[in-house]
Amino acid sequence: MKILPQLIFLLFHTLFIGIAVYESQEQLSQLIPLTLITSLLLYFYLHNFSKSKAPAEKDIQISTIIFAILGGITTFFLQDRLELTAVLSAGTIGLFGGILPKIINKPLARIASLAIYCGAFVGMTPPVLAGNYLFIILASFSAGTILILARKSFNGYAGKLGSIAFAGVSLVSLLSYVLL
Amino acid sequence: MMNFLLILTCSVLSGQLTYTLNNCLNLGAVIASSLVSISGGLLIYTPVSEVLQETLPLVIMGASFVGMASEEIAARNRIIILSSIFFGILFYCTGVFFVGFGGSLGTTAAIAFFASLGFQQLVFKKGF
Repeated sequence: MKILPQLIFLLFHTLFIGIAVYESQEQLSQLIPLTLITSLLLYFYLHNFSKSKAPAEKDIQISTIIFAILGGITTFFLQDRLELTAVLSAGTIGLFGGILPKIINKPLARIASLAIYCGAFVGMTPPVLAGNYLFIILASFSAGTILILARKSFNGYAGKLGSIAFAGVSLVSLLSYVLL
Repeated sequence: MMNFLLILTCSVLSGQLTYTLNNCLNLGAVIASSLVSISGGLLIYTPVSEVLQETLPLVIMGASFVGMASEEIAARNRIIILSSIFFGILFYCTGVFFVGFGGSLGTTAAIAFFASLGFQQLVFKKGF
């Protein structure tokens, strides 16, 4: 159970870069740098697996999921209804979430800030791909759950929230592909 | 080639700016990244070519995730520069495969950052 979050990160990172390497098979100029970066990524995982432990915020689990869903829905709404670009939508919602801990000095505000930004990445999925709000709610729920699982892993590492959002979106995409 | 160099330049600048706002000005990772992302997102209202209007905001936002790393993990600026370069290369090579997939920019940033840490451990053993 302790290494589950790290396994999730390893799985989705290798899946991501694996698809990129596979798709670049015929273009040597892309294949060489991608292979080099993949090797360095695997070297990092080999030498750091189960070492990455950091103090976590006080557990407020349901709130994390609720804030992730809020971040996802509002970002998707800005894209879908107000026709803002994905970058501007997520940036605006992220900024709103980021300001919260500066105004309210409570652990909940810090958790909200991270969960809202994580959800915002889920909400960047274009309406054409997501289809409806249910997809965003389920993907944000999955991302919020993984965020809780990974609360003691990779704190302070770049791309943690985005990787969690990617895992959430991928899981729900796979689920909808299998079920529908 | 020109676009590739522009992607690399924007990536390094965005990563550095976010890291500075985050760790030196103590704005926090989320505010730093979202401010840089909004600035990048506003590029669509400038008279650059349509391709760059679509690409550069994504590069700037994605590289800003690299700058979200904390000082404790990325103690040296060079790690952020190398991660940003890796991010630019990955974005250039993988951009089309995951277009619009939520979290793909963050995943690219994480892979770039982890690979940089791997490079640091492989070549310099401890410090870089």
